[in-house]
Amino acid sequence: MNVLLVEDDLELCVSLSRVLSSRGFQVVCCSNGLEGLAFARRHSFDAVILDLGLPGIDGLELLQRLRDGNGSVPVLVVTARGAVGERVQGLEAGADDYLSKPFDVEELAARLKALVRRSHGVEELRCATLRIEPGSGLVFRGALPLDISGREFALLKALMSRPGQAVAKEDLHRAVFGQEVPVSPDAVEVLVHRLRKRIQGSGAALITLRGLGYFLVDEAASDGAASA
Amino acid sequence: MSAPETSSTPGEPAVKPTGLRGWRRFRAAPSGSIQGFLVGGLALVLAVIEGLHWLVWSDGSGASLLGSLVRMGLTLLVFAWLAGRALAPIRQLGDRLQGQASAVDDDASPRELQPVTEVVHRLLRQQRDAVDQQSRFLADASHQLRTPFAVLRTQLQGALSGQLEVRETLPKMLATVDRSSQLVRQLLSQAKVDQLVGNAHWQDVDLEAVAREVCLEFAPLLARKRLDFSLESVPVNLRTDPWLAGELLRNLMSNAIHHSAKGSAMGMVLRVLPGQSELLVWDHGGGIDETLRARLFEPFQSAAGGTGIGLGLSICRQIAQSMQAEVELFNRVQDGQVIGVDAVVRWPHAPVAVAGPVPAHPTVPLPVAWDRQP
Repeated sequence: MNVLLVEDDLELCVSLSRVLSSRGFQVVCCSNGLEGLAFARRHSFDAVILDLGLPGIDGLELLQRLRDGNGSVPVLVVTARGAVGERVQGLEAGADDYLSKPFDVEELAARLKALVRRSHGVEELRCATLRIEPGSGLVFRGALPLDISGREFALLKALMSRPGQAVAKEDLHRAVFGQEVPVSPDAVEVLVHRLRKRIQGSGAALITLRGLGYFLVDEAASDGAASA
Repeated sequence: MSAPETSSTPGEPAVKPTGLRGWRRFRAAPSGSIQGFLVGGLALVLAVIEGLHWLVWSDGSGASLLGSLVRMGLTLLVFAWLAGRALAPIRQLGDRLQGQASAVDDDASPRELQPVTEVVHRLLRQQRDAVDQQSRFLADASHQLRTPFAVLRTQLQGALSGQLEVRETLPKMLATVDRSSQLVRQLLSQAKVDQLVGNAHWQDVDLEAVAREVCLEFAPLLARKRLDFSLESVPVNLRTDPWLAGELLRNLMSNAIHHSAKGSAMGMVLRVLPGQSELLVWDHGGGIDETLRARLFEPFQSAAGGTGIGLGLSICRQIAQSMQAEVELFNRVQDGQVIGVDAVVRWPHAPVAVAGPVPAHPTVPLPVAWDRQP
C-alpha cells in the first residue's frame, strides 16, 4: 500500500514512516506543501496523510488544489488543529478522514486501511468475528454464515458501517424502516434484542445507550483499551 | 449682549459664558464645557463686529472696502483662534492617552468628551483584563507543563542509563505523554472559554441537541467501561454559545466517566423545573470529601490521589457563570451510604423552552429517589 506522508516535522516523518513500514505500508515523505501537491499529482498513491500547517502552501490549500485537479486519492488529515469547526473545514475541503495530534499509531494505521478499502469499493465490514461480505451481502460469524432476517441485516449493517461510533436510534430507525411506519414504536428495540441473540459468541457486543442509541463494539478491543 | 447661562452640576467646573467674563472663566478652567466656551466666544465675536460697525458708521465713510476686509479678517482670526481653543481639550485628551493611558481622568475632561473618555476607559479596562488573563494563563500553563516534561525527562534518562527497566518505563512514558496531551487540551479549552466569554456573542442554543451530541461523542468511552448509561431529556433553549454549552457538558461527562467504576451506572438528565432548568450528570463513582468540594472548582485542583488535570470544573464554573447559571457537586446518598456524585447545573430563571410541549413540572424523574448531601 503506497502512502504519501506530507508533514513538516522531520522527526515525526521518520518515526511514522518506520512504524507504518513495519505494518506493510510503503511511505514517501514530503515536508513542503508544494512538493507534496506535485508528488500527489504525478504519482499514484493509495492514500495521503496530510498535515495542515505546512511551509509552501497550507495543507487545506493543497487539498483544495488536489481536488480541483480531480485528484481522488483518499486523504487523511492529521493535524494539531483539533477543534470541531476546523475538522469540518478540513472535511469540506475534501479530506476523507481527520485525526487530531497526538494520535494513536494503531488508530492511524486502521483508519488508513479503512480509507483505502473504501476507495477501492471493496470494503468488508468487520467487528470482532462478524463480517459482511461486500459482494454477496452475506453475514458471517467467523467462517459460518449467520442466518438473519432482512431487517436484522439492515440494523447490523448500519451499526457496522460506523465503526467506533454510536448510532442514534432515529438513524437506525431510518436505516431499517426508511419512511415506513413501524408496527410498534419499540420496533428498533425489538430488533436489537433479536440481533443480540444472533451475534452471541461473535466477540461483538451491542451496547445500549438509553435515550440515545446503540453501539456495536469489539469486546476484545474495548476491554484492552479499558484496561490500558 | 450676553449669552444664556449654562447650568452646572456638582463636580463639574461651573461655566458661565457671559461674553468676555465667560471667556475668562473658561480660560481659568480649560477642562470645562466646550459648548460654554463657544457660546462665550461667539458673544465676543459679535461684540467685536458690533464695535467695528460702530466705528465704520461713526467716521461717515460708509461701508468701505477696507472696513469690510478688516471685519472679515478679524472675524476669521477670532474664529480660528476660538476653534483652536475649543479643540484643545481633545488634543489634551489625546496627549494624555498617548502618554499614560491609565491616567485619563474623567473629572478633568469636558462634559462633551465624557462619553468618549468612558468608552476609552471601558476599552482600556477590557484590554488590561485580557492581558492579565493571558499572563495568568501563560504562567499557569508553563508551570503545569514543566511537571510532566520533568517526569518524562527523568523516565527517559533513567531508561537510557539502564537504571530503569525499559519495558516498564515505556508504558509509563506513554501515560505521561497522554496526561500532558490532556493538560494541553484543557489549557487550550480554558483559553477558548476566556475568549468566547469575553466576546459574549450569544445565540439561541438547543441544549437538548448539544447534550445528545456530547453523549454520542463519549459513546466509545462509555462502551470501554461498559457503563450502563442513560440520557433523559426535554427540550431546553439557552442564550449562549454552542461550543461553550458543549464544553460544559463534555467536562462534566468526562469527570463522571473518569470516576465511574467499570460496569456501573451513570447518566445525564436535562429537565425543566418551576422557575429553573436543571442539567444533572450523575454517577456511581463514590463521593467527594467535604473539605475538597469547594476547592475542586479552583484551577489545577483535583481530588487527592486523583489523576485529573484539575481544570475541568474550573472551566465549568466559568462557563456556567457566563450563562448566569450555577454549577455544584453533591454527594448522592442511598440507604445512608454515599454512592456517587451529582454534578448539577441550574439556570435559576428558566430559559425559554423550544418547540414541543415542555411541562412546568419535571417530566424526567431522577433515576432513583436519592437524597443529595450538600
